[in-house]
Amino acid sequence: MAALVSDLQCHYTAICWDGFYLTGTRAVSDLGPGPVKTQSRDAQSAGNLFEGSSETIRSATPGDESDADFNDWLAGLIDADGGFYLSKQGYASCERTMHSKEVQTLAFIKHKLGGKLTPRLGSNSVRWRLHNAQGMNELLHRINGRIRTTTKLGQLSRVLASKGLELLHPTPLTVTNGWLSGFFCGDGHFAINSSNYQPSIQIAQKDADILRHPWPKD
Amino acid sequence: MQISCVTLGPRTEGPWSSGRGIAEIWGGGVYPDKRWEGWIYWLSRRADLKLFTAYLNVHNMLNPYKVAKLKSFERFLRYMDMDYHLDPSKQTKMHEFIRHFCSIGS
Repeated sequence: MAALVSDLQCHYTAICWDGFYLTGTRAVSDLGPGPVKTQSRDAQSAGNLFEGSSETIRSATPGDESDADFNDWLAGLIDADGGFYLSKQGYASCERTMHSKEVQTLAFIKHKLGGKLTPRLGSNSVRWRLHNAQGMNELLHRINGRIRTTTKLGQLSRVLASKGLELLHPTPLTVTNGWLSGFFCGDGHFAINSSNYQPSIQIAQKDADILRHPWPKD
Repeated sequence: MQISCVTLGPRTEGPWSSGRGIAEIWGGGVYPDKRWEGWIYWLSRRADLKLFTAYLNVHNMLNPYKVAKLKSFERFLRYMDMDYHLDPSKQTKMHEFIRHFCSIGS
């Protein structure tokens, strides 16, 4: 707990309104090794086709851990309202639609992973869609083992199976995991009751399991 | 931010088959929402709200609209800490702030 509180106190958030990027910066006194990830994946992958997809290799890959927070955030965002699709021809794709006022978030994802942003007619929203094979491989590499909702796990397993990859099970959710940040970004909101001044944080979901147990039951 | 009073309790990682959910980790409750046959996670205890906002400051939401809401929400929590909501002379300021809060992003 003490470590968490000190970690929370040493972080600041900066917003760059002119560009597409938001960066979390840390105090100079905290420029050490950063938060230590103590959890480990439960399952061992096997039979992965592309280099670095094995969780054993992946955790040791330079640059991977630095993006772990983004990967958790992205998995949470897709869990909230994204989707994986497999065409009849066997082509995999991933989509995420957000309101046009949140287009910067999708632009940031596009900057990291590629894909295409398309305004949706009549709904004041924008869709990010990724369907090229290389981009999908990178996306799967990033979020496999981080998706937690039953529906998205089903979609993801079909896409992974089409590429001959194994679905990794997510680790239990903790306060140090960035998944909830992405999930809240997608489906949560802040509210203040003007009559009794009651502030609240809400997350709406069709499936209650993710709110109580963020992974499928055995 | 004063968050030293916030306690996490025994929130250690459990085994795979008995892990914890969002409500168990962050507090709050899960209630049915009859308007659309769904469920809603609701967090309203002030200590839990502070912990949650501190978490969102560490793990950036990468969404300017949501971050702006977060900053205003934190300011409102500070107003609550200063008992502005109990001060009759601050009622106008509070209502104006809430009106501004609701207008963010619209």
